[in-house]
Amino acid sequence: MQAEYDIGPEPENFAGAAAHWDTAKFGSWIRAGLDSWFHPRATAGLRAVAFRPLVLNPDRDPITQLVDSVEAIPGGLERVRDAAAEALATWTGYSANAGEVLDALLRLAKRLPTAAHVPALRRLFFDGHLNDQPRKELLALQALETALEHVSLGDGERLLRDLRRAACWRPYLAATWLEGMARADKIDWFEGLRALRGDLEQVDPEGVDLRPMMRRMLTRAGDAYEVLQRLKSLNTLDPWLERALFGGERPALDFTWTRVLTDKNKPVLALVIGEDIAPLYDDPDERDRIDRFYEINSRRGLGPVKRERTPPSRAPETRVRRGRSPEQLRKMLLGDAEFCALH
Amino acid sequence: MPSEAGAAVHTETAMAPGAGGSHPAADVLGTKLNFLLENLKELEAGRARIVNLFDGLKATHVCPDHVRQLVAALPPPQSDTWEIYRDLLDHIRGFHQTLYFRRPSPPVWDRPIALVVERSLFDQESPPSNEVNADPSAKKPFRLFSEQYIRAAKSQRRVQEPVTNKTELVDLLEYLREGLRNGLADRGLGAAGRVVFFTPVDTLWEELTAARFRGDSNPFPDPGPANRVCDFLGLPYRNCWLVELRSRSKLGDLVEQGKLTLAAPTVIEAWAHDYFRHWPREDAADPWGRTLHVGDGLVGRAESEGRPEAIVDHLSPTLLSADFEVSILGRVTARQIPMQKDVNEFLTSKRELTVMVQEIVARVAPSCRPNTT
Repeated sequence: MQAEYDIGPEPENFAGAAAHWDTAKFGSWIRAGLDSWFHPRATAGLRAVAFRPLVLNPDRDPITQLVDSVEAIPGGLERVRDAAAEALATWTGYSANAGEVLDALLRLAKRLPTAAHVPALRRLFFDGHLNDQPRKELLALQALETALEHVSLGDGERLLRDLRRAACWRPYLAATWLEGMARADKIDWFEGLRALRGDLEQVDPEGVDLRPMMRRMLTRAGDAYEVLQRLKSLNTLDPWLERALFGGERPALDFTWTRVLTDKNKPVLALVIGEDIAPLYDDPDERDRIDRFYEINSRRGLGPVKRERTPPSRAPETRVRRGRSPEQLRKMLLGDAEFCALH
Repeated sequence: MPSEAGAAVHTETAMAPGAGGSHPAADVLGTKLNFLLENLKELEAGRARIVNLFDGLKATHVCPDHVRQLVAALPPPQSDTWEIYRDLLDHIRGFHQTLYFRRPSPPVWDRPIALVVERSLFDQESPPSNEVNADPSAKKPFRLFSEQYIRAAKSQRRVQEPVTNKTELVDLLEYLREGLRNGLADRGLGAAGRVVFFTPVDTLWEELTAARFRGDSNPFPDPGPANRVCDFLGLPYRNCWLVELRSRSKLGDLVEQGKLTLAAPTVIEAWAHDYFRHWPREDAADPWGRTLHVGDGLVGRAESEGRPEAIVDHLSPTLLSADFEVSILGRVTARQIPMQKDVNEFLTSKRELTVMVQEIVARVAPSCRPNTT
C-alpha cells in the first residue's frame, strides 16, 4: 500500500527483481556474490553490495541473510537450492578466497540439502580438492557435516561409508562420523565406537574432551541394560575408555546403588543412563566382568552420594548377587563413600 | 544526567541552515551531497539511512561538520548507485576515528549491561571487520573463538547441531563458556569501524530474559522469549540460537576498566543496520538510543518503542573472559521479519523524503541551494 505521504517512486527491490530469476541467474548471482564477499581486497562496502540488488549487513554471515531474503520470494528457495548445488559441484580451489567460498557453499548446502549435493561432496573428498586448502581440517569437517545431512539418501549413506574406508579419511573426522551415523541409525553405536577407538584416542588422548559426544550417544542409546551387556562383552575396559565413559562431572555413564528386593534388600551397584538403570546382578560366570564396574566406581573417588534407585521390573530374579558376603563387598568398596552412606 | 539536546545547542546554532555566505566550495559540496542522497533514495536500504541521518542532524547528534568532511573525502560521484553505497560505507568506516562516538552526553547506567549475539558469531565463518587501508590481519575471517579452539572442539564433536534437547543445549553452553574462558581469539568484540551494541540490564530486560538457559537445572527454553528479545532489540535474526553475554560489572566500571569509548548510536555507527532508528527524534532528553520494535513482520506496531541501546568501541578478550557470563536466550524461530520498505515507511512517518534530502543538504552545506526539481 502506498504511504499517505509519498516517499518517491519505489526503489529497486530485491524481491521484485529476483522473482523472475531462473536457477541459472540465481547461480551466477550466488557465485559472483560469494567471490566478491570473500575477495582478499573486499571492504565492508563491497560486501554490503556483493549480492546486489540485495544489500546485506557486511558484519553478519552472508548465507543466513541470503537465505532469509530469498525465502520471501515464492519458489525462490528451491531455485537457490538447485543453484547452490551447481555452484558446489563446479567449485574449484584455485583462487585465494576459494576456501572461504567453499565453506559458505557448504553451509548453504547444509541449510538446503538436495540429492545433487552428494556427488559434489564425493568429488571434494575423493578428488583431493581439500588438500591444498589452508583450513582443510575445518573444511573437511564442514563437508562431513554437510554429507551427514544427506545420510537418509542411499547415495548419501554410501558416500559416508566409502569415506570411512578411503585414503582421505583422517582421525579428526571420527567423532562427527560416529555420532552422525549412530544418530541416523546407520551404524550400531557400540560397533562404531570399537571400530573408531584408535582414531578417537588420537583426537582426545586424555579421554576427556569426547565426553559430551559419548554422553549424547549413550543418552540416545538409552537402554542401560543393553549398554551394560555391550560393555560386559569387552575383554577389557581400558583406562582411556573408562575415562571417556565414566569420567567427569557429567559422565556419559554413571553408577547408583540400588537394592535387590529378592535378596534381603542387598545393595548392588547399577549402571545409569538418564532415567534408566541396570543393576549389576551377580552372575558367577561373569563375576570378573562385573567386578570391573565396582572397581571403576571405587576409582571415581568420593563423589556426591547418589540417591538409591529402584531396579527395573525386568531385572532377572535368578541373577541376584549371592556370591559375596557383605564383608567381601565392603572390602572391595573400601573407601567408597556411597557404599558407606548406605550403612 | 545532563540533557543531551541541551549539550549540543552550540553546534546546532553554528550549523543552522543558511548560516554563512555563499561559497563555491560549499556549492560543490552541496551538489555532491545532493547527488549522493538522490542516489541513496534509489536504493531501498538507502531510504532508512537518509531518514536517520536527517533525524540525527536535526537532533544535533550528528555533526554537520563531520558529514561535510565525509562527503568531501568521497571520490567523485559515480554513475552506479551501488558503487556510491559501497564507497560511502567504506568511507564512514575509514573515517571512524573522526566520525564515531560523537553524539554528546553518553548514557549513565549504574547496573550491568547485556549483549545479544547470534550463536554463529562464536565459531562460524563471518566477515572480517576490515576498513579502508586496514591492517591486512584485520581481513582474516572474524570469529570470536580462536581457530585452534574451534578446530579442537569440532574434531572432538563437543557440540551437536542442530540442538534439539536439553543434553545438547548443556553441551553448547559449556562449549561457549569454555571458549569464553580459554578459547577467545586475540581480537575480542568490536573493531575499527565496527562497534558493539548493548542494552542495559533493567527490570524489563530481567523479565524478557527470565527463562534464559544457564545450565542443567533450567528447562529447555521455549522459542517465545528469544523471539521477543529479537522483537524488542529490532534484530533481524531467524532460525538461530540467541546468546546473551551479560556483564558482571556495572557499565561505568566496565568503561573505566576497559578504557572504553561509550555513546548512544547514530546512523553513522549503525550504517550497516537495516533496522536502525535514530532516537530520540524530537527534542526529548533521552541519552540512550532506542531500537525499533519489530514483531510478526511488522515494525513499530505492537510496541511504541524498542529497548534502550548504546555502543562501545571494543570489548577485549580479557574483559569478555573476566567480566561476562554466557547464557542461552533460546532458539529464534523462522519468524516473520519486516521488509525494508516497511521499515522505511515507518521511519519516514508521514514526512517527505525529498524535503529531508533538501534539509540535510541545507544543514551540511548551508550556502548551497539544492536542486528542488
